Amino acid sequence: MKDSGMETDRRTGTIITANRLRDGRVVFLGAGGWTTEIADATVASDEQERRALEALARQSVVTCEVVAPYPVAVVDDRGRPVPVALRERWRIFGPGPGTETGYAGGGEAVRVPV
Amino acid sequence: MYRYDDRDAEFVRERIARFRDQVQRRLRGELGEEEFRPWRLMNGVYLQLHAYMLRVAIPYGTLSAVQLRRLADIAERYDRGYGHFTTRQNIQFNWPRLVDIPDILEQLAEVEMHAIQTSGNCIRNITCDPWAGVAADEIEDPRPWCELLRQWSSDHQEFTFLPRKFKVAVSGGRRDRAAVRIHDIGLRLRHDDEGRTGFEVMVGGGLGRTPILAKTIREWIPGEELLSYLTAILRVYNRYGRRDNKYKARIKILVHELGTEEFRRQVEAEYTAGRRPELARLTVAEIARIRPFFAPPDYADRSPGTDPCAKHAAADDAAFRRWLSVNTAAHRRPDHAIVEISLKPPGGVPGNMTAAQMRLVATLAERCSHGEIRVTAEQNLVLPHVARADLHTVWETLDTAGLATPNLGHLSDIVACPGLDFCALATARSIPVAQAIGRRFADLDRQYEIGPLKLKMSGCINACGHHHVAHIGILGLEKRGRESYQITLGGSGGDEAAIGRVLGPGFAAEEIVDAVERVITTYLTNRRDPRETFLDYLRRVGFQPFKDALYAPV
Repeated sequence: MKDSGMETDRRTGTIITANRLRDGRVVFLGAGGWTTEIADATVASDEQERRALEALARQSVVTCEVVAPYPVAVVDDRGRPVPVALRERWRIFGPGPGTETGYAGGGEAVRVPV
Repeated sequence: MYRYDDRDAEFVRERIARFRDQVQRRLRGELGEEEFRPWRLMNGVYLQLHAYMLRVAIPYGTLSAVQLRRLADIAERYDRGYGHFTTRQNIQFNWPRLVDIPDILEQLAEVEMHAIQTSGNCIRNITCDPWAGVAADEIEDPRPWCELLRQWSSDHQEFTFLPRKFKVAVSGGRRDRAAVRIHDIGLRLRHDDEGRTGFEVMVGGGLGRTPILAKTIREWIPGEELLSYLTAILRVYNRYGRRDNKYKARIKILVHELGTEEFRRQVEAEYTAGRRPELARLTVAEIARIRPFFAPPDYADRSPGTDPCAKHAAADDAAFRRWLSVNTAAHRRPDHAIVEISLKPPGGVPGNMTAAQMRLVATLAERCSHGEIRVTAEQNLVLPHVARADLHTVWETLDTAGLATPNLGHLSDIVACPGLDFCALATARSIPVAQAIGRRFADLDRQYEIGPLKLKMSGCINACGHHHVAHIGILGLEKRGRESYQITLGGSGGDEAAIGRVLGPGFAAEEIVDAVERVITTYLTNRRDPRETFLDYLRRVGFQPFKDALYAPV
């Protein structure tokens, strides 16, 4: 699986993400299986742990639980894993407030929340 | 509007049944993702950043009130209560579950809609002038020809697996409102000296990472020969288009690499060799069958002498007068008008519409526009048949739903792709930048002072937001883990199509709105007079004043 992380010097670990096959929702591989909460994702801190997570993910593909799993580099943010790459941050924390119904409140600031 | 015949209905039903079976087999593990992916794409289903996305075709941008109401129902029942109108006159739902999509397709089929060929390397939805059939400057209604092309290209066995996606646009007006020169094939309807219908054929336009304007390879092809000629173009493309490199696979690259003359020579040779008289006869017969579906509605005589619109416009009703002046256009009947519904309220998401708004517009269309709505490539809607006598009522009704922003063709009428808030390919966000610019320039008097201006933005190099053909284009990229927004100036769609030029290094998300402000201030400060438009000024003075304003050291 190709790693979507970019800044390896900031990397503190790797999580596995995928989309749930039935509904497409973003999920993370945790101790209790796939979860929609990134806080519950299992963080692999070395290559061996990462390979073990990837093997579990591949099994979930076979059992049709998820689609397209891949590893994501994360850093620790007050006990919560946060992706390094911009795209992955938006995949997890987006869409931004006010981007859905057509009406947004607030000022003009355009900031990445993490 | 066109209505399905038994064969159309059966074709769509069969496709849904087949897709339902494919989804079930996928869920049971009998199809792997690699096998399933081409089938879901051919039915308009993407796996996007957060969820599946369903893109529903709106053939040549024409919708009935019944169809729009059904889209509202789907938005509410299967999505989050809204839909997003795209720059190709389609609508996207951002959150459907895969397990629900066959049911959604069934419900679409009940109102003669589908999602077939809204993705994949095939001929996509045919796009068209949103004012087709009603524009005062129209040569001939292009929609019967669009419908012919839709039927011809649907499930076309030879052109289902092209090197890359393939987009066709048709314009029937004296002005090009279909942006034909940024399409793989652009067709401009023309009459010859004897009044026969034919088309100027342009090939090899497209935006993305290699923006190129289409070249005319035939000044005129008679209408009955259109399918034979397009077949020849697609055969040359199918034979020689690059399949080894996704980024060089569009027909524009083939035309560029062969040269226009050589490409034309090959198409003409293929056309001569493969021309089929029976196809010409079939075209004539089918156009004759289709044309009555697009006959003008039964307009009631709404004499301007009793026009309440004139009364309201004359009264001290500035808001209505502004909307009348900016958001309506000349209809071929003087007692009617074309109404443009802005989906760009201040701070809004370009192209988004809630289910409630869809229902309101559907009802309004039934009451005041013969049940018809159009979708524009600039992510707005059109009521094509509004009696001038009803304009004040239409305006009041739209205003109650936040749909009467009088900003058509002005700065806040921003075109924007979904960007990194939704799109798996995006490298930066588009929506919040468009919202911030919309809020900064929300003052209508200021927008009118600036005058006609097209601002378009894309969240990646694929350019779904058409930033290359904007007067002010913004391209969102990722630079070292941060969003960076590049400004292009001088692009234009339509008759004076031009590709914009990148002005210089990009701006951070927090800086881009101020940068746009400086571009606007440069123009306002230095233009000869208010009649000199932004584009005229740019063409007169060049890029340097803008570069100075954006990049010169303070």
